[in-house]
Amino acid sequence: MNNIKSILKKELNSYLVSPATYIVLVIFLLITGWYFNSTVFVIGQAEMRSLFSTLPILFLFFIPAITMGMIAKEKNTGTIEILTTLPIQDSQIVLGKFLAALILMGVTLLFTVIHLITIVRFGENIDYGSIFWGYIGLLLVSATYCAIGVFGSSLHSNQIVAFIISFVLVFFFFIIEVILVIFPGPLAEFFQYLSFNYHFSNLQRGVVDTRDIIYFGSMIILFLKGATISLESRKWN
Amino acid sequence: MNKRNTLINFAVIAGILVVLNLISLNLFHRFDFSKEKKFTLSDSSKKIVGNLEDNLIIKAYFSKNLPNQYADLGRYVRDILSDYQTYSKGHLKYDFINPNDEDVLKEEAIRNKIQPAQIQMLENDKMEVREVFMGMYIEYQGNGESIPLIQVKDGLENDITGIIKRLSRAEMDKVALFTNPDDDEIDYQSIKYILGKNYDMISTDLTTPIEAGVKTLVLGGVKDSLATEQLYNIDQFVMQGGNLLIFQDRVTMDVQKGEADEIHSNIFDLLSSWKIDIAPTLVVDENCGQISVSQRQGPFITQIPVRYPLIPVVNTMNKENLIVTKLENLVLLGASDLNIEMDSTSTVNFTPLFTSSNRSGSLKGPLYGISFRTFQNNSFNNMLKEPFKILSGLYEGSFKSYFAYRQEASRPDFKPESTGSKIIVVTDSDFINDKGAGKQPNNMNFVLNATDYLIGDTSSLEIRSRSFTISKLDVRQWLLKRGVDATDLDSVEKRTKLITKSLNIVLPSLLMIVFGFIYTLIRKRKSEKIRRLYE
Repeated sequence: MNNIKSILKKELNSYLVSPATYIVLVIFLLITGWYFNSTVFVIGQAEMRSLFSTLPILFLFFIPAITMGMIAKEKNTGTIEILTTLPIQDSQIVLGKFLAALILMGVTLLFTVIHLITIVRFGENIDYGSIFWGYIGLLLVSATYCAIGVFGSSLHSNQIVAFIISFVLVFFFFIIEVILVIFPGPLAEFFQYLSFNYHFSNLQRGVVDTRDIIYFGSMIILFLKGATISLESRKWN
Repeated sequence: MNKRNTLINFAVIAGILVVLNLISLNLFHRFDFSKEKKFTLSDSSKKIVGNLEDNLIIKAYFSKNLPNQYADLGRYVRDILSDYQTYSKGHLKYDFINPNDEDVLKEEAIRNKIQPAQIQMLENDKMEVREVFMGMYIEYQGNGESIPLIQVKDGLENDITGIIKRLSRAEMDKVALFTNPDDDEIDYQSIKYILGKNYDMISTDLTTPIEAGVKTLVLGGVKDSLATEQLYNIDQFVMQGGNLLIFQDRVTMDVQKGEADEIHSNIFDLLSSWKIDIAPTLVVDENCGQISVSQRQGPFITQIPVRYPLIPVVNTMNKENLIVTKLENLVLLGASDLNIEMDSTSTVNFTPLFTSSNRSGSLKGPLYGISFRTFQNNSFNNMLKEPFKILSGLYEGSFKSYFAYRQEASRPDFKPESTGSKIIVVTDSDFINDKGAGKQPNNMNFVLNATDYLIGDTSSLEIRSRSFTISKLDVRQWLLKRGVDATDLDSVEKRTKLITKSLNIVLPSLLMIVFGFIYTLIRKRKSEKIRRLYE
């Protein structure tokens, strides 16, 4: 546990001292604010679902950008060798880095609470249950994207390649719901189940379905395990 | 761990996760944390959609960019259809179509009985009429039914479930309606239509015992005595656990002639044996409808509307009872008082459902005096000094047979007492008669609610009584509440929106930068401290 905590702290610190992180996050918050403004007074509804449904699209670019260097950079600079000589398991390295990325996303989401304040100030009959679970849903989506991002970063030492791998993976799970029409019946159901949005849409409206929680949990475990194996693979002959 | 073991380990974990997901597909639970639990389907909807044996297709025809008041509706329809799909075991598929995209889709929508609605909306600073589609078509095994126009969320689940029920021919509860072929003053088309949507409707003349499986008998009132056999069949239906929904006048009125007569029927003896006592009076209510009367004005005769207190418009409902809690503006035509005869030893519980207003009165026979002129002079006000009159009530419990001490009691299947029967009484038969007030939508809703209650389908009742509040965001309203002068409202609203928009764009980023700045400063001080320690 302490090892995970140390990795997390180190990783989070390297994020928070880097101007690049702030540039990425400020751009993210500016786009979020602009999108919120463009819809909130037009729709005239005291809710945040329009914003919630858009954030996963922004995550497609921002989370791979945040996670691309997590392991790839360490591999490129050779610091991964130093890290692995320490009495730390590969799974702890992966988990520490994953949690750091997730906390960063959580903190970023915290800044969007300003939009919620606008809703609370001018709105009537606000559905706080849906908003709260919408945020939890966003955290779950972020966590899944982060897990994929860490996995993508573990596959290559070049950060750009790592970004592209992560982006392609998250984009696949994002877009399959849109292209379901091209699949025949049972296959369409299978791909629909794989889609992020299919599971996130329930949480957005305040409905917590055990299947959605299990789906997100499974995806996170699967990609973190994949990242761990990818890290371990350097020891294979 | 070597490569082989690692990969096996990964495969095992992936396998466990796949199995877990497969199990969760059938073994799942949903928690609805939304306000008013608006995404929780009723048990009856879940059951009906879960019992589908073939694929059911729902095509929702919704135009894009609907006016503000309908903007949330399309999404709600999508949500509720997704909930139906969840419980359909893969048998329900739905598709969202924007018919405004292509002419072919528009033709398809019209072919499926979804007619475009003309909606006036503000576009480019001027009012424009737009043609929009807001309906759905449900198809199952080659048969289809449509909801041509969806304008509100309330009652949508009830409509969808009703259609699925009919199309899938799910076993419907049976409801019998007493029709007297000799009475040409009666027309029950509206309630037959509305009840037929949800129930298997059967007509009966009561000359034979009521068909097995019928749970509720709707009795539209009689003006004469029934044959003993008919009375016996009603009695035994109730004794055997059947429920009764009765709309019975005690006094008939002819408004045109200004005459009213008390009804003398053996039905009142039967009702009286069950402690149901409809008084031979006519209730007058200050809250009432109007009739048209002819009036000579010079050489012309014109029709003018006058208030007529014998048409109570009821808004005083028993708010604790699901049947009536959400109803309003029920219209009655010549209703009577319902006297309460209960005592502490009674085996029957009574619950009033609705009453006249607190400015009511009663007209007594034999003459009654129902001419509209009676109510046009000042003495009429004196008639309205009585408190509310009970016009409808629910009787529940154990009823004793009217025939218990008669020769019919010796029949082989005779039952002397009922257990757990329910009777709902409305003291006006015009309430369901299309030639009276039967076409009033609120009256029809009462009939539907009362039937659902008697059948025991409280979940349908709950769906229908459910109403959704809209989460509105209205800066203008907010400013008015804070006492902003109405003359400055436009400019203040614009300014407030501009400030809010600017803050929403700039503030999160600004706070993020400040956070970064403070964090870097703290880190710098810490490093400085450590550096100094080592120097």
